[in-house]
Formats: sequence, structure tokens, C-alpha cells
Amino acid sequence: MNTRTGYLENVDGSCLYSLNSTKVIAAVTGPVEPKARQELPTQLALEINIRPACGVPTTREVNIQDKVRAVITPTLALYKYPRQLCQITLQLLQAGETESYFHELELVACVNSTTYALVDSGIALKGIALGTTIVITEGNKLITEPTDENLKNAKSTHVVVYMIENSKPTNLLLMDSYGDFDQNDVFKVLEQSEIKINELNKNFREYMKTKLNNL
Amino acid sequence: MSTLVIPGDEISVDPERPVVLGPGMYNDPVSQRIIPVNAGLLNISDSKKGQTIYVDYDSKRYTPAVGDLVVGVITGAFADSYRVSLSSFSTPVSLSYMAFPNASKKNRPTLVIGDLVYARVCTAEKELEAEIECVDSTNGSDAGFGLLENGMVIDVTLGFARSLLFNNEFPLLRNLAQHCKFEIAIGVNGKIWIKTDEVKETIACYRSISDCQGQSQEKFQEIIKNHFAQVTNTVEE
Amino acid sequence: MAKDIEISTSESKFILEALKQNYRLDNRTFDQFRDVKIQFGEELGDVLIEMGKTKVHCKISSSITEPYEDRPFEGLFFISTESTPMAGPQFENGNNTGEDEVLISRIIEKAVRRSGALDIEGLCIVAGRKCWAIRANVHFLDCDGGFVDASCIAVMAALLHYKKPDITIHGEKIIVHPTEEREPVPLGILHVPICITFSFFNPLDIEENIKGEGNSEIVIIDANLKEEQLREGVLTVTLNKNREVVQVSKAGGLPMDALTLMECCHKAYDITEKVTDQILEAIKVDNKQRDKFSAMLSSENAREAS
Repeated sequence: MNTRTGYLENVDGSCLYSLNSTKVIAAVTGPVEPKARQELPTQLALEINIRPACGVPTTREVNIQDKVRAVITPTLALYKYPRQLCQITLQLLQAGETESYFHELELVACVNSTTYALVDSGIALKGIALGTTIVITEGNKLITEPTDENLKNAKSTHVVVYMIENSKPTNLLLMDSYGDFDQNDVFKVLEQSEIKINELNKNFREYMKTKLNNL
Repeated sequence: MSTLVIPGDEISVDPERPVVLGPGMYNDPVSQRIIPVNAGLLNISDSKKGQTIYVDYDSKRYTPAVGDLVVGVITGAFADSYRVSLSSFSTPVSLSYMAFPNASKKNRPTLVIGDLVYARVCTAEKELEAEIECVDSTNGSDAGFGLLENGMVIDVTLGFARSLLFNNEFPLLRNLAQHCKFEIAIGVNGKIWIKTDEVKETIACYRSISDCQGQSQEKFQEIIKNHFAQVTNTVEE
Repeated sequence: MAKDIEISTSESKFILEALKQNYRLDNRTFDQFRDVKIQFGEELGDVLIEMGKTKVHCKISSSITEPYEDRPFEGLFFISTESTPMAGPQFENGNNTGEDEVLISRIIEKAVRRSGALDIEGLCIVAGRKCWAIRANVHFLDCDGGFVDASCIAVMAALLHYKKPDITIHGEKIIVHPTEEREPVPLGILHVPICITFSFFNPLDIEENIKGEGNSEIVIIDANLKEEQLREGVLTVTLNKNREVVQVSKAGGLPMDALTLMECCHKAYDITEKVTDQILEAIKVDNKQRDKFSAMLSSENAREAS
């Protein structure tokens, strides 16, 4: 996994994120003045836009968009910014998966890059959201951070996103599973993903530390 | 004492004593937990009155807070106040015609749209429009506030602007002063206004301040020297 | 555009005054084009162009479809240029009807597509039935002026870099060979147009007629965002290395005389030549890196060694 915050000049926070062959840029601007129709009287309004690497956004991107929104909303301190707007734009540079069948890798890349960009922008957060992809192969093996090939050969695919507070995964924000699996598999996936999330959190803290030391 | 904190981290506070929360800290209305909401260095200071906690972090977007010194652009004029932008795309703030020295119903300020002002934030409630003033309200003097004529504006990050304004050890301005005479107004909203006698000096100051951002303090001298050398050379050519 | 960046009178006055005294804020001379940085991605036809703080990404995608009925011998070629708030909050999402946005996409469209830079007849597979559709997806990432110039370079570099999968035709049946199986084929590029944008300022603020005496107009190449906001006239010329003028676009603004136009074209040619060479060189270097093994196998290599 590779991250670089502060990549863009004109927005308040940004992050260039890549994992295996998936590559995305997240840009965050806010809090800014919303348009009249976006304004919420007591809290921060959120505008999320995802643009695919090729072609125009379709229902597929809207689907990812809605999931990212569901995951990011609980992490923001919304009531700190009444009648304000936070604009999040995600530009995929490389999907890293067969776009007509999968969206798992892109979804995770979008969530993680947005978290980094939000922290970079300095907008108030109650916690951070980090996620990972896990597939279960035909042979009942679990693979974290799969490749496109792994996805194609998987029995089931799972996206798990946790909210991290005080360095511990506290809330399960999203579990998005497709394919053939049972209750046991779900528990196994949750257990495995928690280990991975802890690792991602460690990386995140390490990244922030080096960033601050360089100032 | 300063340690790295990430949004959502547990902060140990003495529940018996009053707590003052500064930037980067938040009291969650639902859980009533006191948490940092930004990633940065945590500062806790104890005083007689209580404990003050804030997070030191750098960002680009300014949100008004009472007492901040800011540089703004007049973007509109109404019957009794100006509308001022402190950073592009943010909600504008208002500057009342009465918030000037010697102001009265008859004596109106003469600012026009596009003018720059140096001012102080006097109210900043998150639900309401923030207000700024160009007068020291304790004695009615101008206190250095008001119209900034000519000169040039440099956009910097908020952390950099704070270093320039509050850190007396910060060498940048002293280094600049070795090369030319200048007038400066630093807004914690990330806008620095600078004025010198000559265009080439202002250019050199502009480039120096922009380039010193994100560089270590040892390099400042070198960067500034190069920029001043460059502008004097091009004139001779 | 949703809202504009607020710029104070002091700033605009200063920038103009500096221009009068021959200074630009970013330490360039008036005729200096920013250094172009070309980076290729992992996939073919994936290019990131950086010009100062301006960043433009272009990605080529292809698919097989049916040609237009009235043009059975031609393939399809689209350029999509949509700006998002990523490039700066002044751009609105999904609303590309602003004057600037429309102008950017029109100029690129004219410079690349309508100048015939891509050989669309070469995209035909079965006349009237099947053809390639090539799509250039331009993503504006960061805006510090010069979007037209940067995206034109990005589109051309991406087209030159891209290779479409090889195909075999068996009557009505088409077999598309995956890139692992057969070496993909590059697109037919007929010429490389490069856009150069000139910005005009009239610091004296006096209307001058064509034969004005004290002509004090200032012309600069490749304006950055602040200069773009203040300029009073703009001219984009598109040239290629063969000294052909592909397009001249000047939508309103300060009037200019014919000699200035000629002069601008001459200046633009030098830059065009430099940038074209840079693109071709970058493509060559990248191809070499991708083809480590084929270089080893080629007979050309063997001859060189002997």
C-alpha cells in the first residue's frame, strides 16, 4: 500500500493512494459555503463524487458512492459545522479489477484514501474509517488484499470497514459480501479483517508521525 | 508536553477540574467524550483555573475563531456592513460600518469591493455569521487595523502563518529584513500581505515566503538570498 | 463555474505592475513555457502530465462497436473532458456548461480529433459492421492554469503510448487476442498537434486601435491561474512539427494585429518542436523498459552487438 497526502494544491486535503493495481486520488474541500439546496440547518452536508478511470460515471459509481457515504458520515463531527459543506471527489486512475464484475477493490481504495484526505484537510473527525477486502477461495482459504485474479476465482468476496477510535476497531461500519458463504465464513472474515485493520491503523499512525516530524 | 494524537484517541483529563478545549478538540454532544478531532501534536497545559487542551495541526481551510487577526477581501457592501471573504469558497463574514475608529452614522468607512483589510474576529459562533472589526474595541483606536493599500498577498498554510505571527524564534522575517524594508500584515487565515518600496523587492519577498513553506529553517537564508540575487540580476540584463 | 476565486484589487494591480516591469510571479520570462513532466502509468495509454502545479491525467480505453451509418469505413474516437471539484472548488461537478469548460473541451476536440491526429480509418475492422471505438478520458486533477496546453499534451502522449489488442478476422467472426497472447498494436498517429496558449494584458487600460502608437500590450505564454484570471485576451494556437498551423482560436478579448499573430506562431513553433521531441523520447524510453525481453530477442539488437 502506498499513500501520499497533500498531493494536490487547490483543494484542502488530498491523497494519492495505491494498493496492488488499484490507484485512486481523493480530494477534500471543506468546510465551505454550500449551495442553497445542499444546506442542512444543523449539520455538515456531504457531497461525494466518484469518477471512473474510463468512461462516464454510471450506476456502478453511484453504488460505490453511497457505500462510501455510509462509511464516512459516522466518522465526521457533523454538528461542528452547521450549514457548511464538505466536498469529496474521488478520481480512479486505475481500477485494478474487472470493472464489469467487481467493485470491491475500488470501494476499499476509495474509503481508505478518503480517510487520509480528510485527516489531511483538517476537518473534524470523531474517528477514522479503514477497510480491507477479503476473498474466500474454492479451497476455503482466506486471502486479504486480493488481486483481480483472486477475485475471479473466489467463492465469495467481502469488504469490511471498521471505525477506529483510540487505536482500536470499535464499530463495524460496513460489511459488503457477495457469493456463496455461511455464518462460519462471516465470523472467520471478521476475525481476519480485524487483524488486517489493526495493521492498517498502525501504518496510518506511522504515516502521520513521519508527516508531522517532517514539518 | 506534546504527543501525536489521531482523531478519536482517548485523552486523560482530570474530571474534577474545569477543562478548556482549544482547536482540534471536541466534546461529542452524544457520548460526552472529550476527543481530539484532528491529527497533530497534543498540548495540555495546567493553570490555576483549569486545564487547557488543544491539538497543533496544519491545514489550509480557515474557520473563524474569536481574537484571530485576519486579512480579508471586501466582496460586498450592504446598508450597514461589508461582506468580507477570509478564504475563497468559505462562508463570508461581516464587517459592520460601526466597527471602525471614529465611526458614527454620518462618518462611514470608504472601503470598496476588492479592497484588503486587516481585522480581528470579534464573534464566531458556528451557527451564525462570524463578525470582524477594524478597531480595538477597548480604546477605540485603529490598532493597526484597516485598509491595506497596494502591496501583494501570499497564500500560505495556516500553520505557517501562525509560526510567522506567534513564534518569535521564527527566522524568516528577520532574514527578509536583511535584504529590504517591508511592511507586513499576517492573517492567521493563511493570507500574508506584504508591501515594499519596489516591485522587484516585493516579488523577491513573495517568492521567498512561498518557497520557505515546508522547508527547514536552516534553508531560509539561502532561499531568500537566491531570490533577491535573481531579481537584481534580471534588471541589469 | 460555481463561484470564483476572490482576488483583491491590490493583487491584480501588483501582478500587472510586475508584468510591466518584466517580472512574473513564478520566476519565468514572458516566453517561457513551463517544464513538462510526463509520467506513464502501469497500463498502456495511462499518462500523467505535470506543468508546474497543473496536473492532468489521461487514460485511453478501447472497445469494439458498430460504426456510424454514414461513415462505414471509420472507427469512433471520443475525447471526454469533464472537470470536477478536484481541480479546484471553482469547478462544479456534473456541470460543464461554464464558458471556460466548454472552451477547453472545444479547443482540444478541434486540435486533436478534427485535425485528424488519430487515423480513424485504421480503426475500421469490418466495413459498416465492426470498428474500434477509442476513448480518451481526460481527468483534470489540479488547476494552476494552462489546462488546454496540458490536456492536449496528455491526450497525444496517451494516444502514442496506447496499444490496442491484436485481432484476427474470420469472415463475420472477430477474435480479440489478449495482450499476453499476442503483442498489442499501436494506434495510427498521423501528426502530433501541440497547443500553446498566449495571454494578453493591457496595463495602460487605453483602448488602442490596430495602428496604435505606443503599443504597451503584454503577451505572455502559458499563464498560471492568477494570470489567467486577470488576462484580457487569450489566443491558443495549435501547431505540429511539420510547421502546419492546425488551429488558431481567439474568442473575443483584446484586439490583436496580424504581425503579433505571426510572431506568436513563430514562438509557438519552437515550443512545439521541443515538446513533441520530449513526448516521443519519453515514449521511447518507456517502451524500452516494457520490452526488456523483446529487445533481447530482436535481430536488430544482435546486429548492434556485433
